[in-house]
Amino acid sequence: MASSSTPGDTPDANATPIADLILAIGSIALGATILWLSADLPDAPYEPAGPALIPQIAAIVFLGLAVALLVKSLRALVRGGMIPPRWDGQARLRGARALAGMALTVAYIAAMSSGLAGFVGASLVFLLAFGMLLLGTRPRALLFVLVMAAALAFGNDYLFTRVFVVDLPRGAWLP
Amino acid sequence: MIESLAAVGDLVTPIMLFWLFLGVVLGIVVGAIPGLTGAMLIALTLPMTYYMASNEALVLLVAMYVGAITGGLITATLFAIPGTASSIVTTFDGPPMVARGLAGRALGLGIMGSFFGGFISWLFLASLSRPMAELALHFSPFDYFAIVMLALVLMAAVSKGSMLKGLLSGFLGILVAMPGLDPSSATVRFDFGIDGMLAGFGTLPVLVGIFAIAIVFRGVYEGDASADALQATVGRVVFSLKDVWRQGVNLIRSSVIGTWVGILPGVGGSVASILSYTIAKNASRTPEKFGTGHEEGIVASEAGNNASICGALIPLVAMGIPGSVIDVMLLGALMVHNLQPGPLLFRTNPDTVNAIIAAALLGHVIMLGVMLAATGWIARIARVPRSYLLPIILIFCVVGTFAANNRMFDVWVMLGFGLVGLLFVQCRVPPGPFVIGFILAPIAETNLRSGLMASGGSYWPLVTEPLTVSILIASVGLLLWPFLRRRGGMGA
Repeated sequence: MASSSTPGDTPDANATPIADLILAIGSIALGATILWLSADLPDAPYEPAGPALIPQIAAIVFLGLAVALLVKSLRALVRGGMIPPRWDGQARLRGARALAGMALTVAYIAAMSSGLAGFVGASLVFLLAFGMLLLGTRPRALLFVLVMAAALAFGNDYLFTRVFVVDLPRGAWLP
Repeated sequence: MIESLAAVGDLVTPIMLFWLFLGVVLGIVVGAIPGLTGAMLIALTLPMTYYMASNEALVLLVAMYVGAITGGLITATLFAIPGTASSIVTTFDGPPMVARGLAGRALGLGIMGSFFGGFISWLFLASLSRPMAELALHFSPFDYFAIVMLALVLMAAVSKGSMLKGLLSGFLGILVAMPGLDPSSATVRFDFGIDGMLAGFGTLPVLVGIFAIAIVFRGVYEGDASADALQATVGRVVFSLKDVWRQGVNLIRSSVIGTWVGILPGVGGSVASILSYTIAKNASRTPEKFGTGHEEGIVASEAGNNASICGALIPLVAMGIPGSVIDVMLLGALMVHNLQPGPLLFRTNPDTVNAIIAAALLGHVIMLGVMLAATGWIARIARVPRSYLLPIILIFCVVGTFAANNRMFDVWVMLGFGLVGLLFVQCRVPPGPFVIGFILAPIAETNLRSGLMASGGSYWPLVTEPLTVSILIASVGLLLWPFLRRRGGMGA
């Protein structure tokens, strides 16, 4: 039976043709961008190679590999048909939880970045929310989340500001 | 060798012993927890070591390395779940022994294998690293460039999954290392007008993102595994001198194999344990018993993977080339502490090199004591649901990354690479080649451009210098080997 695998692959290597296709397209875009930007890099006056050499070589090789992956994933899709990802109820729940976790993390970092919240306040709120997302709201879990949030927020603030003498972010709305 | 032994004595101070003990214990605990890795622990600890003396930091990290590789033995044996990739092979024989009520014996043999594997490979580390460093001083820039390419190809070749994706990952790592100041001419590259990009992507945020943040988000997605594991009371964990005698040949053979596999740049404990196990099986008088709870199997696997630790440290201290993914972290640690990795490290910072070498030995000694005394307790800790640990890991990632340079930009970079790491998992792209490419790209670029300056712009030395050509041929051979093997198989 003809195989779409490449020598050197382990058996599960072609289990994600759609993901491979997206990866290949993204990689081609990235490689092409780097190649285009590196064309504007100036030559170095004192050496034959210059700052553009390695980015251009790496981008060309990267593009070649990405095109090979594109061809491989297209062949796998043509042979196997478009295999939709399995998104049953459990997978949707897990995906939603993961997205929520990422969104919380982004909001946490953005709050400190923007100066709205300081490390202690932002960490307290974030850890409470993140902890409840992971562990639920049962009394025992909630107790753990509360203790953990307080210990980590205040503990790390003390450790870094008093022991390591590092300024942590301070905020306008939350400390 | 004598300096290494003297360095061991230097490490027997209260503070150093404390770091060694802490590192080994944390490493064992993390290594025992499925889903958490030694690389993650070291990535998480790296920002914290910023405030430590460099020798203490490296001692702590090496101790974590030893503990993490060994810790995987516990869950691999008791629960048939490898705590680390290097303990996968231990799951072939450990659980069947546990099922026969021999949990203590299985663990004892694994600990014996781990200790002697580490000790024997330490002898190689102590005796080979200095001569190798002296030899490496004579390497030309083109030789170094070729070695980096070999490391990349090797890592891609042995990574799980597609070699094509491994190479893609490696070259992506090289591209990610490009933004910022060019190492030779200080030209600003790919900064996109962002101030934070002048220094490029920091080593710390990238490593923490790929190895720690990605694991956290993956853990959030997967949730906690169901408790469908072997229930086992550990009992007394022990091995005897008689066991050492009986398994002597297996121990020495597996340790030597693990050491030399570890020396190969980019290859780590999982390949070492698989190779040691396979050869032990082929050499055994009872190969049919392998996989059914055979003592030789556990010893071979654990001796091989622990031997790879000191083996992988040899190219790291001698040439500044990481022998495994965790060694990439140690390389990052050297850079974070303003130590220039490479063969000159023996001359510029001999105390640092000696501390690393000594920590590798003492780490194994402490590991032996901790594992014999506390395996049962550690097995209980390993069953703590991961969800309890993920918020703690995440907060330390954020604050540690911020504190290194006092920049929120680094935290954003860390988050970005966390998403990249997650993408790698989804697309089954191995992260090892990426970090090899990222860390070694500046070294490769500096050496290639220095070589070209010396040769007046000529690329001929790449194909005429004997060592360079040999290494490049080996790299090309590794790339073509799967195709040639397939062609041979089809023709047969």
